[in-house]
Amino acid sequence: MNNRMIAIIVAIIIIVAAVGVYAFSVSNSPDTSKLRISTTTSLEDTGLLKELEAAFEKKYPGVDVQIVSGGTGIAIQYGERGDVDLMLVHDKKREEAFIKEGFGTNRTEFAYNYFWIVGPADDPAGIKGLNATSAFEKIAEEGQANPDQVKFVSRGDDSGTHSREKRIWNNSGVGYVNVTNQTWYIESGKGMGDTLILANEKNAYTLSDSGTFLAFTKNGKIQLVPLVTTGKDLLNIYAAIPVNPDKHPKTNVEGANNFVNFLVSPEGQQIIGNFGKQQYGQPLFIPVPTNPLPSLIVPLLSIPA
Amino acid sequence: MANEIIGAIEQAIYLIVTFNPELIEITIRSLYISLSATLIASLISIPVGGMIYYYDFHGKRTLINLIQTLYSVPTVIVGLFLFLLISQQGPLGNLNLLFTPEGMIVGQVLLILPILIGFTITALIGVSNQIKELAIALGANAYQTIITIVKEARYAIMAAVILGFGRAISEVGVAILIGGNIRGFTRVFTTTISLETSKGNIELSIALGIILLAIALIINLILNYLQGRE
Amino acid sequence: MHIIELEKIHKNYDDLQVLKDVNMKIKKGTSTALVGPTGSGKTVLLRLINLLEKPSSGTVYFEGIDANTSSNVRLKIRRQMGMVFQKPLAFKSSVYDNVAFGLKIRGDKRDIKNRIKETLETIGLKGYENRNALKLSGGETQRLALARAMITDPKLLLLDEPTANLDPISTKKMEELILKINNESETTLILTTHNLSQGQKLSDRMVILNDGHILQSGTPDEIFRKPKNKFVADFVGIENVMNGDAVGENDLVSIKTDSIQVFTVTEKRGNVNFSIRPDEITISKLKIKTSARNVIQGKVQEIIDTGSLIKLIINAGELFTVFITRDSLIDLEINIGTPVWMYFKVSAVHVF
Repeated sequence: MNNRMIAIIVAIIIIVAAVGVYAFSVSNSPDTSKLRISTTTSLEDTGLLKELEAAFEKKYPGVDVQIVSGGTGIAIQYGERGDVDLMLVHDKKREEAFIKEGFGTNRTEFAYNYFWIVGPADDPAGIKGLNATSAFEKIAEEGQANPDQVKFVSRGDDSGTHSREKRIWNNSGVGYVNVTNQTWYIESGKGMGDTLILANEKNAYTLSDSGTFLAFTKNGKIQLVPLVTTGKDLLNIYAAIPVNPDKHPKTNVEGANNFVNFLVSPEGQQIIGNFGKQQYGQPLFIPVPTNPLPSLIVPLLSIPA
Repeated sequence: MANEIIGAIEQAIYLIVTFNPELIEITIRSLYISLSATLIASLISIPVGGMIYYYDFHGKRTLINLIQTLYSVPTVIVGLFLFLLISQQGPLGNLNLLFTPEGMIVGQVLLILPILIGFTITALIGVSNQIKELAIALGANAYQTIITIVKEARYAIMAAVILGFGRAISEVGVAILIGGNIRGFTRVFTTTISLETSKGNIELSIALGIILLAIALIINLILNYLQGRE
Repeated sequence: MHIIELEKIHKNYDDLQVLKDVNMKIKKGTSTALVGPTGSGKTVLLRLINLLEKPSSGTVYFEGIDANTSSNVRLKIRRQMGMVFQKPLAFKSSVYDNVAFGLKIRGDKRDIKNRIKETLETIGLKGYENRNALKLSGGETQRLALARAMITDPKLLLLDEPTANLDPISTKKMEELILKINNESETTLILTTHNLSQGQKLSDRMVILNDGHILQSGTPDEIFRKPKNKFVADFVGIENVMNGDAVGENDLVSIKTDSIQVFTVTEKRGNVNFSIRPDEITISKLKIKTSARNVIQGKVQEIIDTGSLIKLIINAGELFTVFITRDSLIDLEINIGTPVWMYFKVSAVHVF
């Protein structure tokens, strides 16, 4: 080994050490020019957040809103690790746990819509007109008897939608543990879009958020129809939770609070309430101007004929 | 089905020829990130590959085997590893690299380093031993000899660099886990394609796919041209 | 002081002994030819002198300094040498860059353009600077190699079988260049060759090697007149003297004897004497494709065991003497009466 090689090795060690020192010495103060939001795919994929982001950035110039979308599971993970400043998710139980463990400051509901049970137009299990739990019971019963005709596709990805599906199985007489090993029960392990395409291919039932479903039927990618669209079990509430700066000092609290206030402001609520009217002929989300959500919820979305 | 594909391609071409701003922005960002990663990885791997090639040391064979094993490491594993490292909870969280293009560059560098180092070594081994001896006999020291061999193997190394670039620009694991697919900030070809496809927006996906193919074609033409000049 | 001194050099590759107790001193400004058949160890010896390999035991001194004490010392000494390998080799770049290589790595860039220009003129590649070195002919590449080694003004120039891969005309040019260097510069020259007459032509001292041993060293005259042992005697022995008529328009002429015709390069015409060195003749039982211009069939008339080599007398109308090893005799299954083909190059025919 000659001198030059030793010099190279020394140089590498110095560079690595410098990066290390830099990593631990960079200031711990939050960067207010960036607002990082982790969110569930349904808010991002429908395009609602794009509009909200544009309006917010117009109102607060100098703040760059960066949206990371994934299932609710990973969105909450990002929050727990302090990689984002704000979460927009739809899984009340996990949200409450998040706050209870001290990761979030508060929970503000800002929009809702309904999960839909969708399936083949000929409805082989005959669930149309039932409520969500009875519909699931019927699917399980018919699926058992006739696994070639009646199938159900699950997200199976720990997302908010999947979490809701589990709850409906458990609220029904069937129980989630009893369906996962059934032949008529298929787990896609993928996002809503892929799951809808799979359900369409298999002529199966599935649980979908209304926004993604409408987007897919609109352009003729799938032929499934909505069969059960209302009821308490299907209510889908979106909430915003700023990450707790006590846990993660670099959190941009100011930006997060501004965004939450914007969501429930008349301007934000108008954007939410109008979103999708033009494209789908009906709004995809219903705004929640006050907190908490009124207990009386009127089914807004009509089933397309 | 065939109609659907033709229709999608038609619309994709329409998006391209009208210079759809989103398409252009994603193209420029993808190229910036993957070209930077390829450049940095090349600057590291060519000297490192040269040293591994030139020096005989204990465990050299094992090291090369290890590098070759890493060729096929799943991109999501690299992404996950780096995510745990640079997440705010991770040891390098203070670098603020997560969800940034710079973080993606680091990830892609890690991803393609094994391929670049390994293929550099293979390229150098491909140069006849007589050329190595010639350089030494003419008075080259170790460093000058490595430079000479690298120059002799330049086209093979260039091919390795292009292969690395190909892996960088077509990978999705690092892009999604480290970049976070943030619209207007870290969204690149592959993350857009998977997102738009899951949204059912096939046209944009196909348009991006066509651009990716075109880039691959252009790169290969450049490589062929360079080799033709040899 | 001697420029090179070898002391008790042994070199083994695993179990194979390629050099055995080699001792040698080489004076500055001289020209030495290491001569021996293929596999005699002459190339390894040259590589040891160039410090490309280390002896298994023994010491290489360069100007009185132990050359193998460290890689830095080796590099420093090697930079005072030039080397031309047997196989014509060029870097994948222009002729200019090839010649400039040695200067650039020594950081010697003064007047580099003119020096390269002059050197290329000397070796007969004037104006070749921008040519692609890989597209030169074998002879041109070998002259380029010589230029590349010469341009750094080495104290010691090493040439490993510099003409072994060249055609007769390129060989002649190369030999002329080597002679020129030998006569006009202070450079010490060591070359290896399997060709005795080349060694005789290009050097003032010859070292005869066989089987890793130095058998004899001295001036060509001493070697030819007073061979120390039978191997040298056989090796240098003048055989195959014949007489014929030389006919031809260019340099290449054909010489007809009563029974055979051989081709050679000479200016002489008419009735000439010529000899063919036995060590330049190869043989085979079945006719093979070869670059050798002279292909003659004959029958084995006599098999003589000289102790070191087997001497064959082959009748092709003229009687030929050919040496082969004992192993070859067995491999080829040669007996008295066996028909064999003989091959030798145009350059193997010496006209006098």
